Amino acid sequence: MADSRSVSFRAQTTGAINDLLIAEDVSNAKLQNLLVYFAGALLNYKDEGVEFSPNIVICHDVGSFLQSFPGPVSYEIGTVPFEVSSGAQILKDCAPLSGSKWSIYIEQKASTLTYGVFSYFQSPTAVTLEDSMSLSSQIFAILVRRSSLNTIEMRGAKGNSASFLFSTVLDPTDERPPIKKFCTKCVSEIAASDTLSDFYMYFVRLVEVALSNSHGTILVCMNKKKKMTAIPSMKDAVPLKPTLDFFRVFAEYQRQKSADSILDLQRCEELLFGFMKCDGIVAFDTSGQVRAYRVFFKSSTKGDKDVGPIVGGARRRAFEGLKKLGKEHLLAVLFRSQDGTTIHHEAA
Amino acid sequence: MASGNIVPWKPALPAVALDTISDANELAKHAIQLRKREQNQITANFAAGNYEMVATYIWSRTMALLKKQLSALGSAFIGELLQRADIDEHTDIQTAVSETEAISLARDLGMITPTQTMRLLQSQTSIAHFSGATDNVGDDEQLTQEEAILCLRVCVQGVLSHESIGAAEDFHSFRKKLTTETFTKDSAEISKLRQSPYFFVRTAISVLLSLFKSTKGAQLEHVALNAQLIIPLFWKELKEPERWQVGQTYAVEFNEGRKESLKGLHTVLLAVKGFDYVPENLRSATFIKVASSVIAAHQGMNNFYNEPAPMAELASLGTSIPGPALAKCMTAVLCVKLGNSYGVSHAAQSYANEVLKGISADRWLYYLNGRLGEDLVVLSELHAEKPTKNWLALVRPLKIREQDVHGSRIRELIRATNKNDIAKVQSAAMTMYRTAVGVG
Repeated sequence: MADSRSVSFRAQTTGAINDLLIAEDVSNAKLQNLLVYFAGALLNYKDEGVEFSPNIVICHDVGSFLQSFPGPVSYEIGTVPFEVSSGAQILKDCAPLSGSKWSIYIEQKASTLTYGVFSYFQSPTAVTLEDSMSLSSQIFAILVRRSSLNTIEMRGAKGNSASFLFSTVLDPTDERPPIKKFCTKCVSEIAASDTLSDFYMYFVRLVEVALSNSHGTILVCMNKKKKMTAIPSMKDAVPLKPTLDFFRVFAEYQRQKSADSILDLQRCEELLFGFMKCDGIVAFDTSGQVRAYRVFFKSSTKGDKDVGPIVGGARRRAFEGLKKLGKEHLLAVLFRSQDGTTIHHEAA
Repeated sequence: MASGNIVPWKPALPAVALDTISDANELAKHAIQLRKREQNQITANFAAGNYEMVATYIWSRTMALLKKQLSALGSAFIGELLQRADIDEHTDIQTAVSETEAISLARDLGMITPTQTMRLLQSQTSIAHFSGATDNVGDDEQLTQEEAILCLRVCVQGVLSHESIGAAEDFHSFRKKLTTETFTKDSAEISKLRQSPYFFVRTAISVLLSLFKSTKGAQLEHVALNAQLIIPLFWKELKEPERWQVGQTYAVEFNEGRKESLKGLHTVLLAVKGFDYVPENLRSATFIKVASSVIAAHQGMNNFYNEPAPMAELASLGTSIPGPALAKCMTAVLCVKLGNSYGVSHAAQSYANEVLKGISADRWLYYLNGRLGEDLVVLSELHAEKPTKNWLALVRPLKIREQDVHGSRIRELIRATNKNDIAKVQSAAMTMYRTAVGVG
């Protein structure tokens, strides 16, 4: 007898959200359905053709939630009935207002949802919204955000979290270890100091954010004394003159803590985000500097026999080629595919 | 809180009782931190009647040695205690910390007694006058032998007669215990702290907050648990500047991304419902830095010429002074407005007035209730006639009501101010000053 099955993402998502809500001491079917809606809607939310991936915090009282944040500001936008269908209205009204500094809040009442946007004073090194969720463990709050291209993360104030990976080819993996390994290499020639440990924390977070904003990229780390032109297969590049020296700008910010130094750092960050959105590879060195972008790898050896079949497109092939370059050229490579796969390779 | 001398860390007693000695030669012999040659030079200059020269020399050496001892605690930590974000581990304490700050800190850390503090501050006034002023000191006026002996005696008693290492040992021990033990309400240290003068409690809070920034792992856990015990225990007694300090530390840790220490501080603020004291931004660090430079200029040589530049900078930062910086900025502005016994820096007045325009009645009350009682810089100026007259000219028109200020002493000061009674203002300020240094 022929077998017929239908597999629903929704059913699995609903189950996991139910578990999360129970762990957060909440039991509310309407809330559960709303979260299921957001999980799907945030995956690829567009308004007027522009893509948005806002952070959404659902809580009982935005004032109580924001008291843990320095300099909080919130603007109420509207009130809608507490129904799943209201989710679309909230996103329509608030998503275009959200960004790196502004997030959406939803106050859940008995029969209504009051929503708006909030922000707080954030320096470049400030604790992220997701990390600060657990500070408010005495209240109810759940953060919903798109953590990478195919992944929605929900995190509760009591410390419970759930990740929803909408892909049939990826396994749920923690992308942080490979990024941290790569960043460790990128700061390996900076003299040890308190500033370095602060910089490392900042740098890891910066690369994480830049990668999640990109649609896939490759980052390489090379010896700071090595010239780009000395690597024949990577000559096609746009070298930066002067190099983008993140550590110097960060140290200046640490020393001055002035508005000027924050702006300097933010300018560098924006440039890096731009580099990562460009085609090609972004080259870092071991002192926290960006040396070049739009670097294109051209393998010098044709018909490599020792490489097995490569699954993926041009970026994946470039990554496999870069892996063979050896320590004398590259110290580490970080690959990020469009679907979120993150792989770190360190030259032997 | 009692004003007794039961403290978590006790000042080192002077090696010998020097109060009855007035012979320069005898006193110089006890200055074991000085070289033999220096001791001989002091004796010779006293014998030759070069009182100003020798007193200035002794004072400079004493301050340098005191700052050296303080710097042994770590510059960053000193910066934390003074709430000065501009002082980090690379800062030279010798140049960055003013004399009054060094003396107050030494007192807070139990390195010198309250009486020595008071005497050192008195000597500082005399030395600053004779060494710094040029136009205000007549040719026939000079530092007397008695004043020079007074200076020598207190410098030897407080600093020069002690081994250079070993100062603040009790304090070190208390600080260490905060990172290695978790106190309970019944711990001896907590009982002692309950009976200590306010400035020790203030220092304990500063130490705790500083440790949040510098410790990790198990040490941080001890610090967090101790903070959760100590800060709520004293929260009601804490004055506004100290409460802002707790909130400021939380904001700094948040913006530095230190998640571990943030949790402990969050629990503390939750327990005391103190989130109102978390500043909206970190602008206060800039205000505190500039205000400190105004105070340093006021206390340094040629203050009339050096006050205008930093005061202009302070005025240029705007009149919206963040809460955590308000106490320091008020001290800075009052330094300029009150001046000293020889007058005021005329060029700095307009900038000070600019800042004062933005000080509302509420903010005046904040300063009067929260900081003036501890403000050694301002209270010490109110000993002299000219600054007291300037105080009256500045504060009397504000028509501050007695019932709006807390504490009998500050009320007395305001009452005298409103009555335009110079003598009573000075007397009230003197009483407050003695209490602030711990001898009242």
